[in-house]
Parts: sequence; C-alpha cells; structure tokens
Amino acid sequence: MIIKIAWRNVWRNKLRSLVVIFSIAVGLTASAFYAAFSWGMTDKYVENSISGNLSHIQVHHADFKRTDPNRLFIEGGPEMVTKIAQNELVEGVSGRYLIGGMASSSRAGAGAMIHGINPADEDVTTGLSSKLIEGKYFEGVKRNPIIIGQKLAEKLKIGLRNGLTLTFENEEREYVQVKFKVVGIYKSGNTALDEVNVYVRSEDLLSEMGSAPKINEIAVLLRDNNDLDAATTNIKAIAGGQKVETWKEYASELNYMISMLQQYMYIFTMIILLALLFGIVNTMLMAVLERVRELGMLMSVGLNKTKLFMMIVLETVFLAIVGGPLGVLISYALVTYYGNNGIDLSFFSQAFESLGISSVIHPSLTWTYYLEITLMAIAATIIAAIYPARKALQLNPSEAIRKI
Amino acid sequence: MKTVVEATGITKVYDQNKIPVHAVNGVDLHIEDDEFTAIVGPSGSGKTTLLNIIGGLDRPTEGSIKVNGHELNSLSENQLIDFRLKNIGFVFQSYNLIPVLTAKENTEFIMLLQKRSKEERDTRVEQLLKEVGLEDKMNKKPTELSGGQQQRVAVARALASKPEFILADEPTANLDSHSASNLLDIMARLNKEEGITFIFSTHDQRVIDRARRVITLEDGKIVSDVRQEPKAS
Ligand SMILES: Nc1ncnc2c1ncn2[C@@H]1O[C@H](COP(=O)(O)OP(=O)(O)OP(=O)(O)O)[C@@H](O)[C@H]1O
Ligand SMILES: [Mg+2]
Repeated sequence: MIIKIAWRNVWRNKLRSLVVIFSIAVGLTASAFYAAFSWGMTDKYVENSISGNLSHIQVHHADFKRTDPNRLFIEGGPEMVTKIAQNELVEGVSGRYLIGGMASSSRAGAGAMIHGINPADEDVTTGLSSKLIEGKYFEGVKRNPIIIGQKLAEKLKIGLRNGLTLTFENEEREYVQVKFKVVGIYKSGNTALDEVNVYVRSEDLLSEMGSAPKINEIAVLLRDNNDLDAATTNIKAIAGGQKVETWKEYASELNYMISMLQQYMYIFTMIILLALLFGIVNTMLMAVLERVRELGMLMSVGLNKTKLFMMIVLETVFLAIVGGPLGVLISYALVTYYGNNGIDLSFFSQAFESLGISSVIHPSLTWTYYLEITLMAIAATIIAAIYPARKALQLNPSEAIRKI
Repeated sequence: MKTVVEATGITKVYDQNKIPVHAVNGVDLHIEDDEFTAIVGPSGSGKTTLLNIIGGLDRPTEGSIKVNGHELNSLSENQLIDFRLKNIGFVFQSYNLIPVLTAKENTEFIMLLQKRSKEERDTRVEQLLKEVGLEDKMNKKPTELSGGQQQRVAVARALASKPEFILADEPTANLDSHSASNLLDIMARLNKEEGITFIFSTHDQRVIDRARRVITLEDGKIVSDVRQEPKAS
C-alpha cells in the first residue's frame, strides 16, 4: 500500500516529476557521454601510440637505457626475431640497431636517434611507410637511404634527395661520419618523436661499422592487445635473460594517463550527480512542505514514522528508477551511434595531432560503467531523499493538521 | 457504563510569542461509552486543543488524561501513534483522505496498517461504505467526490479500525447544511444502532441540537455541561 501511494504520489505533480526524471536522464547522459568520449579518445591515443610507435612488447638488454642505447646488444637478437615472428599471437616483429648520434646538413645539426632497421619488418610493426608524406619507402636511392621526420627536415632545412651526415660512435668508441641521402620524409602525429627518430637500413650501418648483425631492440606488435599477458609469457620464454617489457611498463605515462582519465570521469560524474542531488532535495522538500496537512493526517490516523519515511524515500527512488534507465538508454543510443560514426574533431586537429591524438574519436563505454553510473545515480537519489524525509518526520501531527 | 475518557486538570499553555496562552485551562472531563457529545464554544475557546489532547495528538502541559485505560502521558511518540491507530477514529475538518487513493482504498488503508486479512478488509470496507451510503462511489478518488461525500468516506475510514470512539473536529464546517445534516444522520444512526461513541466539536447550532450531551468551552474552561434530548433531523 505504501508503495502504491508513493508511486501515485510521484504522478500527482506530473510536470515536476517529469522535470526531475528528465534531469536525472540528462545528467546521466552527459556524464556517460563525456566518459565515453574521453574513453574513445584515450583508446585511440593508446592504439595509435602502440601501433605507430611503441608496440605492445619490447625486448632489450637488461641494462638498456633509451637515452644511451649504444653497445648494449641483445644476445642472439636476429635469431630471436625469427622465433618471435613465428608466434601466432604476433602481427609483426622489428629488430632494431639503435645508436644515439647527430644528424647534420650543410646548414644545421641536431641530435638524432638512429634506427637501423629491416624496412619490411619495421613496416609491418609500426607502419612506417604509411607515415611518409614525401618520397618513397627505401626506394629510389641506392646507397645509404634515410627516412627522417618532417620536423627534423625543417630543422636541418633539407628536403628529399638532399644529403645528410650522421655522426656516431662505432663499437670501438671512435666517432664516425656517414653520409646518407633522404629518401622519404614522415610525419607520425607525434612531433617530439618526428624530431629525433631517423630510419636507415641496418645493413648500411653494419657495413659502415664492419661488424656482424646486431640488435639492441626488438619491438613486437600483437594482433590483439587482450593477448598481452599470454604473449609476454611466450616471449619471455624465448628471450632468456633479456628484459621483456609491455607497453604498460615502458610507456607508464600512457597507463598513468588512462588512470587519470578514469578519475576525471568519476569526478565529472560526481559533480553532475551532486547537482542532481540538490535538485532532487529541493523538489522533494517542496513535495513534503506542500503536503504538510496530508502528512499530518497520515500520522494522526496511525501511520508510523518508519512507514512515512519509507514513503518519501520511495517516491524519490521511483523518480530515479524511471530517470536512471532512461538516461542509460539515451546515452547508450548516443554512444553507439557516435561509436560507429565517429566524432570528427578535425577543426581542432592541429592541437590534437601534436599530442599524438587522431582527430576522429569513436566514443565507447563498457557496460560496467553504465552499471556503476546507474547505481551511483540511485544511491545519490536515496541520499537526496533522506533530508526531505527527515523533515517530514519532524512534523508534529497536531500542528500539521491545524495548518488549514 | 464504561468510562472511555478520563481527563483531570488538563491545561495546555502555548507561549510561542512569549505571552503564554492558556488554550485549555484546568479541564476535568469524563466521557462514557455510547455518548454522542458535542464540544462547543467560540473560536479560540480551546475545542481543537482539547480534542487533540484526548486523541493523543498533543500532550497537555499539566494534568492527566486516561483513554480507554491508557495513561497517555506515559506513552512515547511511537506508542502514541500505535495507540491512535488502535483506539481512535479521526475525522477532521478537511484533508481527511489520501488524494491518490480511491474511497475504497482510503477506507482500507487503516486496516492495512492494522495488518487485517484481505477477506476481512474487503467485506468490512464494503459494509462501511454501504453504511455511509457510498457503495456506488467505492472506486472514486477524493477529487471526484463532493465535500459531504468525502466526509462520509472519512467516517467510514475512522470506523474501519474498530476504534473505541471517534473524534471529529468540526466535521461539518466545510459542508452545506444539507450535507451537514446528512453526515449527522449517519453519525447519529451509528451511535444509536451500533453503539459507537462520538465526540465532535462544532460551531453550528443545528449540529449542537443533534447532540445528546453538550459541553461548552470558553477561554479554555468548561462553562457548562448539559445532557439533552437530541432533536430529530
Ligand atoms: N500551536 C499553537 N501555538 C500557539 N497558540 C496556539 C496554538 N494552537 C492554538 N493556539 C491558541 O490556543 C487557543 C485555542 O485554540 P483552539 O484551536 O483550540 O481553539 P478552537 O476552539 O478550536 O477554535 P476554532 O473554533 O477557531 O477552531 C487559541 O487562542 C489559539 O490561538
Ligand atoms: Mg478548532
């Protein structure tokens, strides 16, 4: 009976109840859509970073440091690359010979991270050829071709087919200078990397340095990020004593970014729910105050305080039970629609690209988030109901019924 | 004859505006089973205050009140609510009914609070609404009923709990004279045929004429208490 009364009371003031239900729905939609958008953005960023640059797993010498990679080679590196490539979870493997050095043109010089690569392997792993904006992927220049980033090209004031000198230490710690010719210019979307990473064929480096094939970085691209743990175990078995790390370890800033975004999502949701909470408190308080006599009558004839409290809380919860799922439904529709069609942010794309974020975002949300947000909204409504319900309890029946 | 209300030295002082108002001032009162009592007096004489104290809606500042053997001063808030539910039927001047419930549901409501069985509720509700002449309005909401019909539902609702007596504070104040006399007919018949005790307050001389006992209040004091032969309608 209390439930019946509460439910019917909700519909006594249809407009007011609809406004509350609508605000709950809109609030939920806003926070869900915001979350989905941020999630889509992060996902895209992570995916871009992994497939375009970081790879899922990297293997190095145990003492390897990116700032000074010279001479720290992976023992049996080339054989390891072949073995890893045979794993069915693996999409592509690239063995790299990394040397920190200098790149200089006739007009300027800059620090460079020289990547000695097998062009075919690197292309499968990081899609380097697809990032070219000028020239061809190691084609058209016979001797010592090099691919450099657009940013570095600007810095060195050189273009396609111009000469470029790389200066670096060889294995005997002597400085050597080698001339290369620009065969392609790439743009990865991450300006910081475009400024330092240059790519040459590893055989060209080796012939200059006169040593057997060596590798100090193996980058592995998986078919699916969900296989990360399994693949890591497999590769660790192959890699012996070498350091095997996943992107979650060596790109900890990515992981940090993800967890921070999640926190922002929750903070944003909290703020919206808080606003909702005050709206609901206000509405329910009005609903209580305008029914003082009726509530007084109910208490007079014998409705006890527990039941009265329940009635007011139930009225509020009904609002949430209608508004919550409505909000989830709207957000689900929106997120699915834009998830399939994408949101084009090319208007802001310059800013995004320098951050390495692609300009078309596909919002996405896990069902756990929908569940959480719905539960949070219902919890917020119950909390919002408590104050008006307590106000109702404080009514003195003899005074309440006098207010005629 | 059983005494249902036994009030001794009841005083109620309101001092909201720093000036104490003696709404009820030293009232001694006994009301017996089967009585049909009107409490009358000018506005502000303390009728509502006295009825609220008898009904356990308010506590006296001084004096003791015993209803049906319960010493009301010794009951807690929650016990008072339970006491009211089990012992007293209330009819107020207005806002008697739950607007979202039908006449039937409103009447049934009290019995639900008393946890009566479904069969008992159904038969009793039907019988009560018949007694107040509303058997054809059972499924109407209060807004679809006239003021007089609403008050009759309130009487049915008050009876539903099988109370010791019914307290009615100006039950006819908002009714036209026809509906008022119709309501009084029903109350008088219930009193006479079923022995239900009524205590009601009123301003209206025609209603006063229908009572068998008339207690007059002035400035919170009983100035007269007479038994009379009620006039027929
Ligand atoms: N809650 C209150 N606070 C202060 N004074 C009150 C309160 N309730 C009643 N009074 C005062 O107590 C006195 C008695 O009031 P009461 O309502 O009992 O009179 P009444 O006989 O029922 O009048 P009416 O015929 O107008 O209903 C009045 O002077 C009134 O102003
Ligand atoms: Mg009064």
